[in-house]
Amino acid sequence: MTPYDDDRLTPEQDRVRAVLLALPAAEANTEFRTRLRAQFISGALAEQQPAIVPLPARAGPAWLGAALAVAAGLVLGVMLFNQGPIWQIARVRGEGTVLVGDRMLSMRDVGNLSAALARGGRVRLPADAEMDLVAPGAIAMTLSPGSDVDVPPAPGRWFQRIAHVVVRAGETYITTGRRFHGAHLTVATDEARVEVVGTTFAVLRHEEGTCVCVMEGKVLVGAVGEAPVEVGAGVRRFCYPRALGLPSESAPILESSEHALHALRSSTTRLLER
Amino acid sequence: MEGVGAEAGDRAAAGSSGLDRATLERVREREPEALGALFDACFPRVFSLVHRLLGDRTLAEDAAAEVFLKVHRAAHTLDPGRDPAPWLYTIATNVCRDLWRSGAYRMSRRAASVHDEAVADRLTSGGDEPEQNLLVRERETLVRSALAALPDPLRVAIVLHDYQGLSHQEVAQETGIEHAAARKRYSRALAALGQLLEGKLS
Repeated sequence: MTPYDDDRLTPEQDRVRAVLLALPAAEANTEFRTRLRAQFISGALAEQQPAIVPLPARAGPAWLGAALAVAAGLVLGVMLFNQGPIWQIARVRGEGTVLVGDRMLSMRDVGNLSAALARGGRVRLPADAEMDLVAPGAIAMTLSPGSDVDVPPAPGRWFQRIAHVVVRAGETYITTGRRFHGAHLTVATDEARVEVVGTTFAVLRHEEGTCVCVMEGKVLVGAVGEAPVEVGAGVRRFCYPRALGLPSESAPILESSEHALHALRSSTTRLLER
Repeated sequence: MEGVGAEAGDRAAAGSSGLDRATLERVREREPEALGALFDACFPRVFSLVHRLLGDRTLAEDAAAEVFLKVHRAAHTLDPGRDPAPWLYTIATNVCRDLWRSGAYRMSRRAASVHDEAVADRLTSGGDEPEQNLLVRERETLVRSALAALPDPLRVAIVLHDYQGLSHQEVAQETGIEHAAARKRYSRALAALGQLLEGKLS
């Protein structure tokens, strides 16, 4: 019937095609044809509503939707259960207004401060106030007066066992607890990056640079543009601002840091041993 | 030059529908006489197309009515310099696609009724040579059923190419696929049909 490009058909396809072409054309019922013609010519047909309304694309089987819902529920449940402990305010000293994210809160309003910081956030302390935060069993930290620190959510229970602190300004004293074991903590400043696997140390960020003081365990301190250096207990590492072009230096730990870390350790021992 | 161009335009317009440019221009104005001429020229092929695509007379009547409803509404967009047949085939194929996605078609695929030719033919077959007629009818029924059982895209490939006489290139344009894909699809459709009819047409 058609002279078009059918030169590559197999004999079997040719046979099927011959069967198809032998099929007579269907003829419409005369009454239907006459009625439709009259409606078409008069325009009555165009005034009718379309008779064929396509359904939306067929959805998958019902069990598939249920299975997906169950799987989504399970994933959500696991995510919720995996969440690490929430941050609690263990102690505040001083007066004034603290910024948590974009919220301004009074240092005295410990209830709202705890709620605002439960899963971490950026904290900017006034110049004459400090704060101890504890994620029970995992991490405790002291934020010194005038600190500007990104406090991360505590590491997850089974996965996402990592926390990343950013010290923008001020002194941050950190110690880890029993449930921190196996987790990973990093602390970053403009000058250095500190990698921690479980220890007690301080990161002091001032205009002159960043000082990392290690009281227990050891940390890796990587100054910007330098290879990371392992810093053990009783040692401090000072990283200068990059603009100065000076190499980092190591020295004995600062006494003030040691005292502050001891104080943090002793005030949070009960919570960290949970 | 103008005369030759106009003549060529008339030929192009005539195409398989046999309608000249002047008539098609009057179709654009929805003049009853021209609409009647268009209907008479195109209805048999349109009905044949939708019937083969849908495999059911009742659905084919619904689809044909829908096609001419759309043609009437869009008459002013008709290009009088071209054969209107491909335009109508496009509308008809789209109407069938809509129907395949409709509840009515899904219902009709689940249950045969006395309106289906496959059933009705068995109930009403007769004539001067009843035995011969019965054999022919049975054969036709088998082929129609096999065609109806094909997946929609394969059925469209066969119906447009073998029954409507479109080239693979035209089928490709009609269905929005590449030329090579249209050829391949047609070849697959014949192979599938061969499997469905295997051993049944001896």
